[in-house]
Amino acid sequence: MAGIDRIGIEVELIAPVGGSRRNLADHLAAACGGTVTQNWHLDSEPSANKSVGVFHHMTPAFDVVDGAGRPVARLVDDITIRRDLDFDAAPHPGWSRVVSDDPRFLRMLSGFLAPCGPDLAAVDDIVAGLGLVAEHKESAIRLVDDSGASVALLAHMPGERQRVTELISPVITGDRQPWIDLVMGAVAELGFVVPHEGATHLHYDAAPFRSAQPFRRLVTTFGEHAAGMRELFGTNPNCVRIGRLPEAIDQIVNATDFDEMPWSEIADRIAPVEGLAKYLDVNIINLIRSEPPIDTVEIRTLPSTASASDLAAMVNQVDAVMAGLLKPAAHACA
Amino acid sequence: MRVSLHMTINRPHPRPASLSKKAASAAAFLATLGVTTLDAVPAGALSLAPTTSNDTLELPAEFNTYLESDYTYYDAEALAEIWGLDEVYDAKIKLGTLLQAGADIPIEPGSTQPVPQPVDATALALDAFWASDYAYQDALELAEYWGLENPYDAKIKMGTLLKAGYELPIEPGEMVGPFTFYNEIGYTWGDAEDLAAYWGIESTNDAKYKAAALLEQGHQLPLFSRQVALVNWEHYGYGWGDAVELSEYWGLDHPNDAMFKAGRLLKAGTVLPNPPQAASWQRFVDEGYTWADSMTLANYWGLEDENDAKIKAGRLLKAGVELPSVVDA
Repeated sequence: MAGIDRIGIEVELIAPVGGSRRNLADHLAAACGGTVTQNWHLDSEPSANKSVGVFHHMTPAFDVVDGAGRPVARLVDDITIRRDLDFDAAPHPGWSRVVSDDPRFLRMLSGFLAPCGPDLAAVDDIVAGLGLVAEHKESAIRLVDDSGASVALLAHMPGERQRVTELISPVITGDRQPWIDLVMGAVAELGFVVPHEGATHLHYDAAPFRSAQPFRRLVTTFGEHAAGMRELFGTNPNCVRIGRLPEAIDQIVNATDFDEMPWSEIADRIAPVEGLAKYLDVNIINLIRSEPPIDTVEIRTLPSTASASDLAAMVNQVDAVMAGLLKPAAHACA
Repeated sequence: MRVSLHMTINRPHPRPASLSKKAASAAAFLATLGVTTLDAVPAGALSLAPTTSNDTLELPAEFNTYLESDYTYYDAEALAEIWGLDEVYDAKIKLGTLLQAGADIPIEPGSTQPVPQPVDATALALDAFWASDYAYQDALELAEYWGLENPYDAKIKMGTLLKAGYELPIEPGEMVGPFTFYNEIGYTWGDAEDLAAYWGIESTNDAKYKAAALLEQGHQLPLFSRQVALVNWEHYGYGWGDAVELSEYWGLDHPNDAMFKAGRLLKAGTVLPNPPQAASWQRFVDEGYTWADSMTLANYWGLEDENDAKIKAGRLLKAGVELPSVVDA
């Protein structure tokens, strides 16, 4: 189907008690004769300290490639998944997380510290090379510069966060079924389940939506019809990071001269709308940017699932919806 | 390695037994885009027809009665009109109820002719236009070239010609007319809106034509472009806080409007009512005042935010006014 040939799939899951996303990575690698590498996954979280606003952190991520070195999946933490975890659980042996108020520090440190199994005693030597001092506290290591200013905090990962598994596909072109079968088969075999707050996100190429008609349809579907679409998609009511598109956008796309507007003008009008954010039913932030870091439209209201056939059905469903939005002209009647 | 649906399903959010009005309305909207042949979705379902899965969607019985009858969508639409119902869906349900009860229906099944859909020459021409590499900008150019009233008419003419196998006078994206200049010097749709307001013209497009024509004749436009305004705004050190402040001062709806207005004034050499907040703040700090001083002043002036006190104090200092004696540099 033109325009929606490529897809990116993200499914939020949780490992059985005692397991971790590493288990799924290993299992997947074994299934396709590939290997696993550990990396850092950078993310941000609201800070309890109001003067900081947002904390940036990095946590262990696992990248799986197949025997030919082609990417199969990336498995990372997702901080919205909380309810099913035991917050008092002891730290997972060997796993650490790094927290900082500046993501640049994290990107710098990511090349020097191993996400899993770093020798905490060796941290002193590693960071000394960066001109930092490691202050060993009871439950964490504070990294400070020579003026004593805090640069980052290296801490254990308690509270079962290793169980959280956001399963991210590489870009899939064409048939989605082989990837779904491979990956969700492993999910089922290991007994991963759907978390309380779980969702599935689908990414499609943004470019075909950058013109008046497809954009208006997209906005109508996930704005005006947001409530109905959630019901049709079976959206998880416990999902926290969703919301309908701002109503101001409905007005923009329903203007009489909207179909006459070139894309640059549409983007200029949409960009300043108050309340437009990444965490809505559909994420159009990258669609309206001129040089987006990820050039996709993201559908965020699907429920999570641990079943291959459920996931395949959902993907088919959304494929059909997206293809409908992109059809050249609509003459059919309901 | 296929996994069976019913063995591994993990479904914390059972879908409701029947579609709500909102969901039916969303499904109906999708149906207009040809999205009808959908498989069952695990936790929701777009498919209005029963599927082979054990897990089918339960529609109201009345709706199924309507589906099984010979009445068409167009009949239901007509009945909604007759019965004074807003939603065709509601008419389908009422129709189903009456059929079940064996009651009389005001019209015969299949008796309503569909309102002619725009599968006419215009629609086909527009389809051809959309299928081509030509875009809105080209339609603007050719509307000028052909002397048509608006780009919409140009699109229809372009589509008609393309469908008939003719070549158009310009290549896609080729700019020949006055808009070349209008675009090249950085005027945008937003500027056309500002110009429309300035000239008291209702249509933004008309303002754009007028602006382009003026430029072509060698005239200046009465407003600097938004781009020029923003460059000046930033050059003089103004920021978002200033935009908020000025929009209140001038009674404008949005800080962006204040930013454009102020930037244009700055470009024209006009001094704004206040120096930039950032510079004022810096002045306060440079003179040796501390955060504690700003708290004291905020208290003294009855300001909620000590940052506002910093800005106010900085502006006073710049104007050569001494600060209240509660603080000492």
